[in-house]
Amino acid sequence: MSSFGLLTLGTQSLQANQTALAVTGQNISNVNTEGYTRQRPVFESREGQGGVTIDNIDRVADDFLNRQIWADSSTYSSYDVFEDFANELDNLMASDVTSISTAMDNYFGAMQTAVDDPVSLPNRELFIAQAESLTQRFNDLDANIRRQNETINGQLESSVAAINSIAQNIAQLNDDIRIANAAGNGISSELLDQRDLKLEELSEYIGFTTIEDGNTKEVSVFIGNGAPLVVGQSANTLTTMTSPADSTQLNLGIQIGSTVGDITGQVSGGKVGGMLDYRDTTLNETLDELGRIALVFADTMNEQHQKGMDLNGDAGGLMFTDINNSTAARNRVLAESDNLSSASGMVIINDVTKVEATEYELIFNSDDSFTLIRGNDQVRWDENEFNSTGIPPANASEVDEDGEYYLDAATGDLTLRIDGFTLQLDGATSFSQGDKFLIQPTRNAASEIDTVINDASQLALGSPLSTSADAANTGTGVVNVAITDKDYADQSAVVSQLTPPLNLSFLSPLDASGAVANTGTASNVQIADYDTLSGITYPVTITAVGGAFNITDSGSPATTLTGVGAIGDAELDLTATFGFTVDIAAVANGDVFTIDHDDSDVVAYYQLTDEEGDRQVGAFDPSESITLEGFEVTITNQPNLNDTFTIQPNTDGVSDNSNALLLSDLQFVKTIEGASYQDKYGQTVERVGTEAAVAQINAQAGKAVLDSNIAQRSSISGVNLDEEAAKLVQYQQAYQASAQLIQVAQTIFDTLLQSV
Amino acid sequence: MRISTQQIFLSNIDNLNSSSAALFKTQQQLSTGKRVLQPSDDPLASAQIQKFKKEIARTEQFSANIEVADRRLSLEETTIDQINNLSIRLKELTLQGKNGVLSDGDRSSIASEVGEIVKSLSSLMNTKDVQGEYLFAGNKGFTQPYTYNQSNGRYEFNGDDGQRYLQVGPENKVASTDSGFDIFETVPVVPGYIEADLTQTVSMVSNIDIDGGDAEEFGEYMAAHGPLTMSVDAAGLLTVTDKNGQFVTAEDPAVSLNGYDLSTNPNAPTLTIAGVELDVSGANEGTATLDVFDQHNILNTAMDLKEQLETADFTTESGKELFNTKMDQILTNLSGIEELNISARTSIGGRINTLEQQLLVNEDYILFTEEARSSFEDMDYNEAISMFSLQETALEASYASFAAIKDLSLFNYL
Repeated sequence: MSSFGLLTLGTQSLQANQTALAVTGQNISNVNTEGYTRQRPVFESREGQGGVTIDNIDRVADDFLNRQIWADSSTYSSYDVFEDFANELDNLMASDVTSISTAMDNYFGAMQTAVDDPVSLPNRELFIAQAESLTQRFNDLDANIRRQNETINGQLESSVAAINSIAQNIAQLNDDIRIANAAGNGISSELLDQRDLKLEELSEYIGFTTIEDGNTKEVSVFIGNGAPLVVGQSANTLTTMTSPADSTQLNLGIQIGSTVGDITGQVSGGKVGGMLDYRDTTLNETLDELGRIALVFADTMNEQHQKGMDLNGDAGGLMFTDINNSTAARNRVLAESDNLSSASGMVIINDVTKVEATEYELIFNSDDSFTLIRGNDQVRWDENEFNSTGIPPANASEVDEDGEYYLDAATGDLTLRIDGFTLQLDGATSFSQGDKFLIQPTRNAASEIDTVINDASQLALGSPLSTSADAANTGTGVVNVAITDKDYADQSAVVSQLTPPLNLSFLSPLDASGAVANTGTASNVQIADYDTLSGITYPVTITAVGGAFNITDSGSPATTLTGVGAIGDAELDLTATFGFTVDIAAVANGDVFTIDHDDSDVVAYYQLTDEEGDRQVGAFDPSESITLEGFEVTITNQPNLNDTFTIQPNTDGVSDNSNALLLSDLQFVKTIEGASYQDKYGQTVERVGTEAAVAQINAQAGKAVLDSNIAQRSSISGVNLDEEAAKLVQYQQAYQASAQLIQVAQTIFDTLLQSV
Repeated sequence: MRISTQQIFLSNIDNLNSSSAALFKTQQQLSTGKRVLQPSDDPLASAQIQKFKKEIARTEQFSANIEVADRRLSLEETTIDQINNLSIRLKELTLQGKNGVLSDGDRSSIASEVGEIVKSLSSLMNTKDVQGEYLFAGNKGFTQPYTYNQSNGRYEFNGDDGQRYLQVGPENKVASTDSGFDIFETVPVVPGYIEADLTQTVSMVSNIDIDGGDAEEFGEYMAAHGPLTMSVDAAGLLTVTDKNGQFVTAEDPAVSLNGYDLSTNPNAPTLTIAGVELDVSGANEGTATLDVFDQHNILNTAMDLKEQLETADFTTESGKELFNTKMDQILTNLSGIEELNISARTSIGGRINTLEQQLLVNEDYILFTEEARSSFEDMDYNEAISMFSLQETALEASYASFAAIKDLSLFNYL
């Protein structure tokens, strides 16, 4: 080996260690650079004492770990943003200042003061003020929740802008990497670091998958169900667009070429995924639930209030806006903007207690075929699953039960009733395949509820009917009257209905007696038809004539029947005309029987009569109430036979609080899926709270996993200054030794020269 | 494990951040005394807290109702008590006035005292509460319950029998008002004080002996069948019908009184109907109505008394007899009034008692619910203070260790 070789060796070693020192220097200077991956010189010995070269500078990275971190980061961001929104919502709903439940406590509290003293106008004013404050609270809470929707819209827009800029960067880096790769100079570690950093940034916004091209080293990025965000050196643009079904919401689209595809439902992970998830589940569900509470509250309160009587003696009006006012009814149906038919529609709530807090999607498969999908449980109905009765309604007005529909394919009209509401679509043309309608029966109710009553004297706290017992009554009977229909006043005007004031008295059992001269006997009078019986005046005389019977009552004009039955019969059936049957035995012509109330003290029937002489008789049963048109009468305890009661209009009944009591009872009536208003609200708060708590736990867990993986990566790829210091010493020493090699070579050469 | 330099610093910053955040939170909890500062701190507990607060608000409302009902019932009780005192005085005056040795002047001075009592009664029975609502008018709170009718000289009740109920417990409603109908109008017929009320066009029934018969049976019979119409025709035949037009059957002799010839009566002239003995004469053709003496409210009874005292005719025997009968009827009536007053006061007293009991129950319930709410919402100071010291120690340790670590670098030794 020549001394020249030694010199070359030394020089090479010097160069290699210098490079190594430079790499260490790079590591030290980038100790605080985000995304920097530490580098390591790879020394390679050359054969035949050829010395050393640095062929390659290793980038100490774990690609698998990186991908894991991207996935963890998008999961964590998704839960984190969900938690933020859910916490905000929970605080809104549960804090005393904004809670509906607290406002309801105040409302019912104020109602109690009105119950205590119904004639006091200040108490009534206070009650109305609390009603206004409650509806305002509904509106405010609804608006605050909707503000979250707006926040989500805004954040979607800014996230989309950020994602687009990151995607452009990645595409550019891909291009740089491709060029570096093609040039064969090796890809610089810094380019890869930057790309990984951009991908990590992207993962905070949205969940994605990557595919690396083995040849070009380009990374393609896909979101949702494989929608290409970055392909090689080009990036596609994400856009936001107004949801075709709900104009208040923004959807996510991806523009590939000139077409924009809606990928809202496919995206998951990252801030965007978390927000969309929150909007679809918690936000809309809460709006629906809050709306349902508002709807049921307004309707049940209105219904009961209309059964009452106000301070002026007039029937109660609406306390809150009518739930089926035309604006509200129309707002419940949203036609998709790209529908071919121009049908618009409305939803009328028929039975508020059956309405579910969810939205429905109605899709037309053809002009006479449709599918309805309920949002909360994804139950689907096709048109042939309606009409469970088997008798399809012949026109729209016959749709009067859940599960019925009427569709006129030619005119594009649909009437459909389900879950307590009726959907009416009114088109100018027939429906087309793909026409979609979004039905939101309760979504807007909390924003629409309003107090319409403003005159304190119009609060209907009394009942329009009152009862009174005769002072001479000896029994313990107590009579109560309850209004069952808010249109009671109209009902009682119907001809032939009993119109208050009514007199309630009691009758002893019917009994048959015969004249002394009779041959046969009559016994066992059985009432078969009380309605018929009500038209009969006792006593009723039955005379056996010519083998049959003549019957006449004591009314004026008398009800008579001639030539009925045969004297040989065992039973005389007079149900059709007189309402009773009587057993007879051994009757001969000329026998006379009298049917009349016996002279016992037994209360067998009640009798209601009004001033027009209309009469209603029925069996006395203290456990059952007597149902009349628009109201019912209940008799409790035991009245005596001669007791009488009066059921009369509650004229001047300003001190009556009975309707107010019924209104206040509504606070605890299980009107919404087996829960009271406040219970349901509490359940909703609990649900939001649980979702917030779950998101909290998930976010914490996600954070822990993410942190541990970042620590792991940091442990592999991060720079440790102590280590670099040691390396610095190590390479410096090697460098110095290499320099000694050159010096040795020089010394050898000098020695040689001197010896020559 | 290899640790990168950045990691050392970042994790230290993380630790310091979370330690001081935890410390700040505990400090906040300590200063507010609340464990759950906002619902998101503990979403599940806050749902429970809401429920408890709702329960408490509701029970406090019940207690407020109790106060309202209590005030109202106490006012009623005082008023009715005063009415009772006047009723006792009326009874004394009746007994005094009945005394045959009094002169017309004595009676008229008693009558004038009765007149004063009538005025007091009328104002008591028309008592208004602070809202201007009549206490005893039932549902017709703005209608004066007792007004004087000039044309017939009677006080008339214009209210109804409505009663107002207040919710004082979850399942407990108590009547907070009483109508004049129930406490003044429904004067009961007191057994042993039943008086017959006879109106006849000519002298037909000369004597009614209730005490010899069964007064209670008579009362019950008349409640079901009265008034009875008696008539004697030109032939001297007696017909007695009840309110339904049915012929009345006498007990002794046991015969339906449908054209009954009094002259054939073996017990003549005594008939027994519904437990009382009537001395009936068929001498004069005419009609008579027999009923239980109608009980009047205290105002009208006092009016009756005043009228009797003012118009007593002691110049004739029949006048004296009539006066005595009327005074007896008034005494009977006053006994019924007394009984009604006692039962009204018992009922009101019972309700006031119920209200007091319910108030205790409500207070207990609020206490228990407060405790439950507190266990969810409030801070346990012992726990919080030890937690605070622990967190403080941890934060101090972080500071100390960071100070130590920051100087550790190989570069310092090269």
